[in-house]
Amino acid sequence: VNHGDSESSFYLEMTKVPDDPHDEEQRLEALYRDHFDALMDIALSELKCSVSEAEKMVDDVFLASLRHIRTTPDPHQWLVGVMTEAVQHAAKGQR
Amino acid sequence: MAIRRMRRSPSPERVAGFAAAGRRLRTERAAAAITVEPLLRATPIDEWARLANDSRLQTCGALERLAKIANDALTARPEYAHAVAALAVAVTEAMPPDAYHAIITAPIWAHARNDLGKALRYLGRNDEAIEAITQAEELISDHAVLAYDHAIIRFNKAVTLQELGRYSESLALLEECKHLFRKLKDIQRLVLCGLAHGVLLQRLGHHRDALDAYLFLVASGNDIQKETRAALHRAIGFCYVELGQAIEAEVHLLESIDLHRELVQPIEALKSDAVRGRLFLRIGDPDRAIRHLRPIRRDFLRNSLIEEAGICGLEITEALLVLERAAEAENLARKIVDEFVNASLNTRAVTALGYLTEAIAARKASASLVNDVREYVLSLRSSPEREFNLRRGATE
Repeated sequence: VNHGDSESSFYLEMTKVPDDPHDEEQRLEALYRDHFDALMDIALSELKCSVSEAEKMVDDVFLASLRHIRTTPDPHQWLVGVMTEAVQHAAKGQR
Repeated sequence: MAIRRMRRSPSPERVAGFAAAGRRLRTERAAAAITVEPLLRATPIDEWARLANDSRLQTCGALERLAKIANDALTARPEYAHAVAALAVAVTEAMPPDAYHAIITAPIWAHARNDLGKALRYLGRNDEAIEAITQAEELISDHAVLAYDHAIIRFNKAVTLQELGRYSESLALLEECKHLFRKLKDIQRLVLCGLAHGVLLQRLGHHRDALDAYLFLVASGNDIQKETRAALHRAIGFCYVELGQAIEAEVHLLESIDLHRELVQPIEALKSDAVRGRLFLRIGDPDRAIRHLRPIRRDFLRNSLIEEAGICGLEITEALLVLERAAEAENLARKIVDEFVNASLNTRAVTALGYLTEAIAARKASASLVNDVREYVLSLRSSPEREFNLRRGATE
């Protein structure tokens, strides 16, 4: 049985060293700025939490994305999806 | 008139903090790209334990590199993959727990254990694999933002549970993983889940349903990674063999072989080619099956894949019995027993093979007995304690 699950290609992409480090850094900054509002909105609308608690959660989602963002076909969907999961989990805890 | 709310902007400190974490990881990846492989090559494997305390390996970048090396070696050199993954776990145990933010550390440490579990699965040590994967899960279960990493690990668990015959648990996990990968639009992993689902159906003997599941994936129009496509085409070919559709089987098995060769995975190409040998036997051409399988068996032996060589040898034995060449079948069966004994493989397999050899020697073995023994030996991979019960096949 071969499940084709060696993940070689995922790691190949993940561990690549970019030609232009400055360019990658700018992309990360842009990613944060572009999606911050949408993620904050999910946290604040679904949870009884303060702005600073929501910001902390958003920060964590971005940190979790750091290793995967290169291999993710749709970063927006990824961030929103993970944020939704995290918020649902936290909402269960609040209930 | 609706009032539009102001768009929130993150503080510059938060943006800078995220960019800094990215910069650190990039720097570590660059360092790991030139240090990790030479370090492994320069150190004998039995001395790798001391590398756990080497500061060059105690970074996230280095651990990702070790994960890449382990995954690259998985199919062709699972023992090596296991050694690398075990080293990665030892590194995580030696690292200071506060070296990084917990959201960075937890998944990397968890993936090290997950990779160890995967390598153990490839070695057939499935109980130990589940243990390692469960440890991986425990490391990240407190962090809901790591849902994606959790799903990757749970996928590995689902696949390993199949090896242990725990199909309903596997299926439930696969459904959970599919749900998340679909939500995150991760098509590649979604396809892997579909493939694993198909394999599960195949294991249950539902070859037509499995085939439909595979063909649906192929027809989905998704840009599926080459390695997954190679695995898919082999699985499709195998289903067609079982369903007796020779032409379709041949087409897909050849496609799988080509893809594995392009990926420089000669062993996997060989395994797909071995399925073609089975096909020739199933379509009533035992001569061709023998001609086809003999060089493949030699290649398996050359690569120390004794079990694969044995399974391949049993296909040849079956073909020889169909052709009523019992003396040759007996010689080959004895060789397979010797190979299994010399390689210290499962003693139950040796017992079953010994029984088969004696039955052939007494000219009381049929082709179906060979098939039973072959299936039994294969089943020992997932259930190493299973007893051999002769159900049919002997002529008395």
